[in-house]
Amino acid sequence: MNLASGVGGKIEKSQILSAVEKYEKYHVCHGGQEEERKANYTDMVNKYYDLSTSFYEFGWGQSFHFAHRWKGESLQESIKRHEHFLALQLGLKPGQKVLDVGCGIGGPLREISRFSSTSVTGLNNNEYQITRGEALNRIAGVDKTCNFVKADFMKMPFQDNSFDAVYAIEATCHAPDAYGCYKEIFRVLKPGQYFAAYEWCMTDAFDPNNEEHQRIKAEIEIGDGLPDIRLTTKCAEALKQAGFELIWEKDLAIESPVPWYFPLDTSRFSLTSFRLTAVGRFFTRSLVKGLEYVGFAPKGSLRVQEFLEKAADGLVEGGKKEIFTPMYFFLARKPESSDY
Amino acid sequence: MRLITHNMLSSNIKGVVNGFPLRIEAEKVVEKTVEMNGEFLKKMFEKIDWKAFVDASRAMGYTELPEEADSSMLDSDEFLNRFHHALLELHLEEGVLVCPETGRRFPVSKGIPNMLLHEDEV
Repeated sequence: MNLASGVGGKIEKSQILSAVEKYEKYHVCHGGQEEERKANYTDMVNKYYDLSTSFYEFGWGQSFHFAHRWKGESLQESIKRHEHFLALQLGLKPGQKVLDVGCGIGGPLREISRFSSTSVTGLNNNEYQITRGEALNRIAGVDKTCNFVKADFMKMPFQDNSFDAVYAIEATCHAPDAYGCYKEIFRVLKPGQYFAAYEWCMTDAFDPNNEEHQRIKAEIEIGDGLPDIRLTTKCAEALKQAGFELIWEKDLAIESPVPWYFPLDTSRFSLTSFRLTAVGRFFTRSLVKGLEYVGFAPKGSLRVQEFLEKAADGLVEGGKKEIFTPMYFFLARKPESSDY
Repeated sequence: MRLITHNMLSSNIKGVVNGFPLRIEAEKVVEKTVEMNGEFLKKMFEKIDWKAFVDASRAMGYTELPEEADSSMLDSDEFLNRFHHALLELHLEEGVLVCPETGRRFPVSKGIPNMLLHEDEV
């Protein structure tokens, strides 16, 4: 029932079908242009998360990201470890003020805050996700020290040198321009402090002249609300251009004993990630179809399920061909002597 | 929205030089009891802009904070209790945050400050 009532987020239930159609029009598969996606990224990303958040939470949990995974480790365990790894890389200490850029419903924010005893501010431009995050913060008991601000990460409402650490987990890929986004992060971070992120990127194996590669890239973009997926090298360049010292960077997907895309691969079966398997997908699709038919779920819900499934297929293909990674990791430092 | 959040917010409208602190116009303030953590408060004290904090707490109807404060006062239980109450227990549930330079009003609804800018402000 949470899935049915949550579909569409803050969009009026009667408007969901038209919102799906508007969202789809932004993308290549439906004749949309990259420039239009970049120009209207706030609207596009907002529509995407209004439409998809309840599906994400239903199928994946509260942390909307992939993870490096050991054999014998469950998906949820790997997700937590992925978050702890980030906190350890940042060297977080109790009482520090930390910024989560593009925080979703705050799964990582809650985990990192509890793990490191820090005060984490979640920045998000989607009202439905923030409302959901606030409720989950209260349940987890971190609402005393963690908070959400509705804002745009291209223009953050904070003073220069405000935060002791900044992180982003599979979020800044939504930025229309990596340099502009990293420059804002650089501005609000205190000198000598660290910024760490997991980025969605196309790898060096991606061939822009290969039609199949282009199709996979387009499928991921429509299914995940992205204006344009950047190359790993472009992210590294943008960081340096923004003023950061790049401490280290690596595509963590390369050494993951269990491929990151396994939970989405319908050729596999898993009881722990049942909702993500072919049978689970069929079950969810039938459930959504039934709920939409009787009026519990709004019209257009099934369309959302379909474009999310298409994205999942694109992600699996991109992962298998090693042309895409959701975990290009980097740790960067703002120099002690900086203009801000 | 707690004052711990307010103390870091700033108006980032194009051309604004002094966007901090945002003036609070409170419509609905809620008090929620929170367990006190002295260590956390001591660490936060170093990061707080005290004048902005005092003005904000007054705008929320709380007048028990001293005009000025230094770290030696953290040894006083009375001061720590007042600091804790203002920082973590007062919530701006509904209201407006006003840019000190342009007068632009940022709404706070259900405790969430909406700091999104209009196209012409970026």
